[in-house]
Amino acid sequence: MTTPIPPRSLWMRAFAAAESDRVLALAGRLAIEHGATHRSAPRAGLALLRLRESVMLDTFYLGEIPVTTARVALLGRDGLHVEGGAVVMDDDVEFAAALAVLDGVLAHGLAGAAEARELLDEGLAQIERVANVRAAMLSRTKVDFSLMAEAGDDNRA
Amino acid sequence: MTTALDVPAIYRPKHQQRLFRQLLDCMARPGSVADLAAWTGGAPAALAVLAALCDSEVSLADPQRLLTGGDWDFLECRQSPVAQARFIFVDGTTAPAADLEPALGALTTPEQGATIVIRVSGLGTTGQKVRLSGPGIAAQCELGLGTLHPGWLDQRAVWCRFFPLGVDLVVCDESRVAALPRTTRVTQMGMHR
Amino acid sequence: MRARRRRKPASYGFGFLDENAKKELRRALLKAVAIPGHQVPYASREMPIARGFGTGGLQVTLALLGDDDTVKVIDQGSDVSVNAANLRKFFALVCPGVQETTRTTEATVIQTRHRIPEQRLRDDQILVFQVPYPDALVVVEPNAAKRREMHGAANYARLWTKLYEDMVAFDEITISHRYPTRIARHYVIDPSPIPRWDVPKLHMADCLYLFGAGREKRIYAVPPHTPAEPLSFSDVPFRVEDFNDEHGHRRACAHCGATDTFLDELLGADGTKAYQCSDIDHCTQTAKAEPCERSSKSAA
Repeated sequence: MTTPIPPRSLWMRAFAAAESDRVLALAGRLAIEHGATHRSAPRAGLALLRLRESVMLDTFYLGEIPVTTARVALLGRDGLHVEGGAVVMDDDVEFAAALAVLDGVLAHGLAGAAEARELLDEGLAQIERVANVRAAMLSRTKVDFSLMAEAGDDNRA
Repeated sequence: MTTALDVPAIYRPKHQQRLFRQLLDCMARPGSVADLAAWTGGAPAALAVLAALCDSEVSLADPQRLLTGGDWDFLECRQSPVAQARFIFVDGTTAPAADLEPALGALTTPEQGATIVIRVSGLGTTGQKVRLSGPGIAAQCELGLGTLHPGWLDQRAVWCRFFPLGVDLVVCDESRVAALPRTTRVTQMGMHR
Repeated sequence: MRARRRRKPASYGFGFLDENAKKELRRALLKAVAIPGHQVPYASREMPIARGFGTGGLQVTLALLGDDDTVKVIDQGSDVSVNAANLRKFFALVCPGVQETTRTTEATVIQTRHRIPEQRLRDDQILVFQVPYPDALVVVEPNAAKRREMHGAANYARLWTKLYEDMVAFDEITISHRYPTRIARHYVIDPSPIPRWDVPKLHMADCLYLFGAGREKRIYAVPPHTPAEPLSFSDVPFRVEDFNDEHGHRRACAHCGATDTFLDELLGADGTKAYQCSDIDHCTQTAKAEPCERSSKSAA
């Protein structure tokens, strides 16, 4: 694996975009392998989504989004505990815990990190596919104003 | 599935609901003792009470440092000095510290009087015996407060002197709990054998 | 377009409210019980029913319910009105495991609008009131901050004056429901729009009474075995509704024949009046218990 690992801030999005059955299966296996325990109570709740509008640059609340957090401890190679965490836009506590396990395994290079990396890359590829499709859809809605100007000339006659 | 990842019993929503209902019943009927063992998964009752009521919205004071770092991680509440804390967790076998001054609320906001969770042993059956009367009690009833130091009852009388101001006590031993809301009149009766 | 399959169908968390919301309600409920009659503020959440349709009671009930509870909902004594039926359906939807019932004796938690069941509630039962206006002082003091001060100091002089003025003007206290009631000799509460008939049931009860006002964001409580005294003058005692006919005979329920219940007046198509128990479950049980051949047109 030669490509550098993407920054940790992208991991949640990537894992969440990967195939969820495989994410849960791998995390379940690694959780047992590394004696995972919760470090705090995983929590599903709502968060207010704050955005900045583009005219006056004021912030405003767009609405509520589901947010689930999980924080786990894993037994590292040297017998010390290492941590993994997850904050996801989802309402499934179990899924957040699974992502926290993968996060911890990958961040601390524990056994299973390679498989986690595979899922991560898959997720990133999936995100890119979706982004491309969306970009294509967006480009089709673009209007060429120069053409409109020519059409306008006709009307003046 | 991530079956290896079990959340401790007292932090599971279902268990917290059961713990709360027991606690509500105790608060509504001072002197009644509830056994929480079925829902604590072996955790001390005092910690179970805190788990059922606290979250990141409230402040908790632990002046005797009874809680571990792990407890704080799960409780998620803000650590705070005693005077500002909504919840105070103490061990009741020794007399209250002279400088322990919990929030009593104000005339317009008596609900801001602290809830003090006191850890003892032998609740209900042994130790300091008290006679209780007041709201929630049909006529009067008796309660054994285990190893609770009598100084706590004296202090409570001072804190609850001016109703509606005051503090509400939740007394816990290993698995059981009883409540003494500020309205309860307490008469000390001597010791159980 | 989603990359991963839906893992499980979207569902509400148990009790609809998130755990933080429930904990806040629970903390408020404990303080409300510890300070009987005091209105404890809380952050009322948006509910899937409009404010004014029982969101306060609803939130209290949701904070209480566990999957071992049996819930009953009444609206003016009826289990089948639209409001009651919808709330009951909602509990069944968001609290899997909770049993629904219309029987007062089977319920562990009863949510009510405007009535207290006729049958005395047990010590293992909780009655949750939907409260439109939580503050009894609102008729004499518009300023909320001042009202809170008056409550804290148990200063109800102006409420007494209002009652006295009623006496002078109308020869009786004109309050038919929401009768100001003093709890544990300190706070005066608005017991929600229950008829005067139900007010004495608050006094030294076996069960716990909880009051939720969603719009006004207040929770208060009357614990069991707690004095609850309707405000009255020593020479003008508090009276419940009078169900005697013009000859001084106590009217009976047209359905079950009971003469010891709160009656609703029903107007027939021909203009005749009939009287029937407001508490439907109690009425049904009474009728079942005494299957008599009463042709039951006792009304005038």
